[in-house]
Amino acid sequence: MHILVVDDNQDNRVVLARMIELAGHRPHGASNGKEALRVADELHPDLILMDLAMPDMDGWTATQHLKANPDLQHIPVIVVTGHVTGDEIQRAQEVGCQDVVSKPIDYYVLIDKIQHHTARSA
Amino acid sequence: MNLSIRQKLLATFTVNLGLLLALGIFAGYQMGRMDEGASSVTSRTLPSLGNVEDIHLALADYRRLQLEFIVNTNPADKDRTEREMRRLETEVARRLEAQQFYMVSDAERRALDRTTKAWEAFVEANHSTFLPATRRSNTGTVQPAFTRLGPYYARLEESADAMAELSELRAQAAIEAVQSTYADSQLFILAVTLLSLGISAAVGLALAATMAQRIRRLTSATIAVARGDLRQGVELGGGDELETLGQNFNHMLARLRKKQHALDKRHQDLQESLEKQRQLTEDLIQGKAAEEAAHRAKASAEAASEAKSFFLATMSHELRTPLNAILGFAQILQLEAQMRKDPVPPELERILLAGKHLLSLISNVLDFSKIEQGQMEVSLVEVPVRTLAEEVMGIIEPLAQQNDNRLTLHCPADAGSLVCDPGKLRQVLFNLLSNAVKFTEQGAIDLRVERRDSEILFHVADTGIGISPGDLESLFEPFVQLESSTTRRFDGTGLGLVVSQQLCQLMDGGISVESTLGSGSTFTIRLPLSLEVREMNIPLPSMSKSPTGGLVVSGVDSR
Repeated sequence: MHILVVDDNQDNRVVLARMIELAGHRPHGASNGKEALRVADELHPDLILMDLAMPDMDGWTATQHLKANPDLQHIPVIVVTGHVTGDEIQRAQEVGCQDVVSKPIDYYVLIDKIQHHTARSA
Repeated sequence: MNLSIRQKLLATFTVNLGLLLALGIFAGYQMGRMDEGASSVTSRTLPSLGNVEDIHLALADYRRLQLEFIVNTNPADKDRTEREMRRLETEVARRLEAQQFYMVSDAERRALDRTTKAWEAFVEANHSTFLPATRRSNTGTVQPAFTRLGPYYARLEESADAMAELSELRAQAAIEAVQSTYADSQLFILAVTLLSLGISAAVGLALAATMAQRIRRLTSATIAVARGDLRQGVELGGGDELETLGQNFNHMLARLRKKQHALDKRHQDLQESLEKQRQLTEDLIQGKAAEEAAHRAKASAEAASEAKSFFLATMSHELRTPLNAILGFAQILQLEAQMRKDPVPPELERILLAGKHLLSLISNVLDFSKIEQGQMEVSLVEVPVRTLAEEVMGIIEPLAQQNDNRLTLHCPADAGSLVCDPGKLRQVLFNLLSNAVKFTEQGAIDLRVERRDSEILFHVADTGIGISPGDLESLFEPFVQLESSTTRRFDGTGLGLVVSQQLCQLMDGGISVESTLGSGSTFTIRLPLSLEVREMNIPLPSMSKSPTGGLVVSGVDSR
């Protein structure tokens, strides 16, 4: 499976990528919302892990664009965030995110969610 | 002497009037006496003296006629002389008789009597001897006849002189008496006048003096009143109009005092009222100032609190980012070692544990700050009790094993479901269980679920070191750690139980504790069953049980 990791923090991207690799999937990276849209359009990944607070274009806007695109709207988007207020998570839900994983990321939680959402969409 | 001034003056006047009246009477009496003396002199003494004088003249004439009788040779002349003598005799007799009327004293009467007898004897001798003897001759015998008459005449003259002398003496006495009376009267009138004058002056002066003295006292009292000194009255005495004036003055003063007192009281009341008003105004101003200050303080506190929340949220996020890398890489290394079937280095385990501990500390601080500021939200959903309990047990199991503790769940089959914020309940259960595990070694830890009519209880019991009674009291107070000996060994912020208690209270429940030092503690979570579902948030990220039995603590920081 191809999984797109969107995060402006390189460490976070590496951790997620390594975990994805350990689970046997192919990680791809993007450092902001704009880049994520370009890569997603190019790659059509099976799932997107989306950070929320990012420069250039944040996660909410990027998700909004993805879900507005008929070619990409089927791709599950899991929010990976350190933000924990209900307000921000609700906004993420409103723009079409399927699930939330909070930082710091636990490998098992992450893989569980990935499998859960790719199995449903497959 | 209680007399009015009028009476006093009247009395003085009366005394003077009496004196003058007495003087008048006396003067009248004395004048009467003088008049009497004077009239006596006029009516008796002076005529008597005149009469005596006339008698003397008549006697002298008579003597001259006797001589003429001798000298006359002509009988006709002798007869004429004799007739003249007879006329004189009648006159003298008449005068002697008249003199009888003027005689007052016995001595005078005796003198008159003697004179009368001497006259009669003289006349008898004249007619019996002298005339016959001398009628015929003119010489020779004449002289002896005349000489023989001598003693008679001498006696007559002597007695007449004595009588005249007596009359003169009487006149003298009368004049002297009048003079004496006049002198006496003069003296008396002078004395009485002086006495009257003295009495008038004395009484007047005394009266004037006492009146002046009392008027002076009254004056000084009025001056004192005019100056505003109302304390002193005046006692004039004397029982007269002045005393009445003084009494009236005192009455006036008393009323003035009363008025003054009332005025003073009113003034004081006014002052007090003014002072109160001023105080009130001041209070109002101060109150307003205090209110404004409180307002500013509140605003600044709110701003500070907001800044603090923002700071904590930001810090929490900023701390999590590197922690994410630390925990993530450590887990990756652990996984890779496991996949390669290599032994996981113990240092890696320590990194993971320390990182998770750090994470829980950050979470507790953030939770506490959120709760304190009323920003902690509660998302209520209905959850099966048993499932939730089993989830938490699954997470805590590996920790229990580290201290060789036996972990048991007692949950009745009919435990049913519970409306609560499952994330927060999990957090509280995890906190209590991890504490139990931490403070118990080679013991038993039980999670027992008890359902009652309207509430559900979670008992977390351990056989650990227990808590001293003193520590029990401050167990749920923020930033108070237990005895240093125990807490230093089992580090923590001291916020875990506080946050747990506050989270339960957010769900209308609470936590209670029973403990015996040395033999273990039992914490009881009590939550109402009938908690209404107030809001529904999106499903929280469920806690996954690690397939490999690893640590899963994502629920600590819910949502």
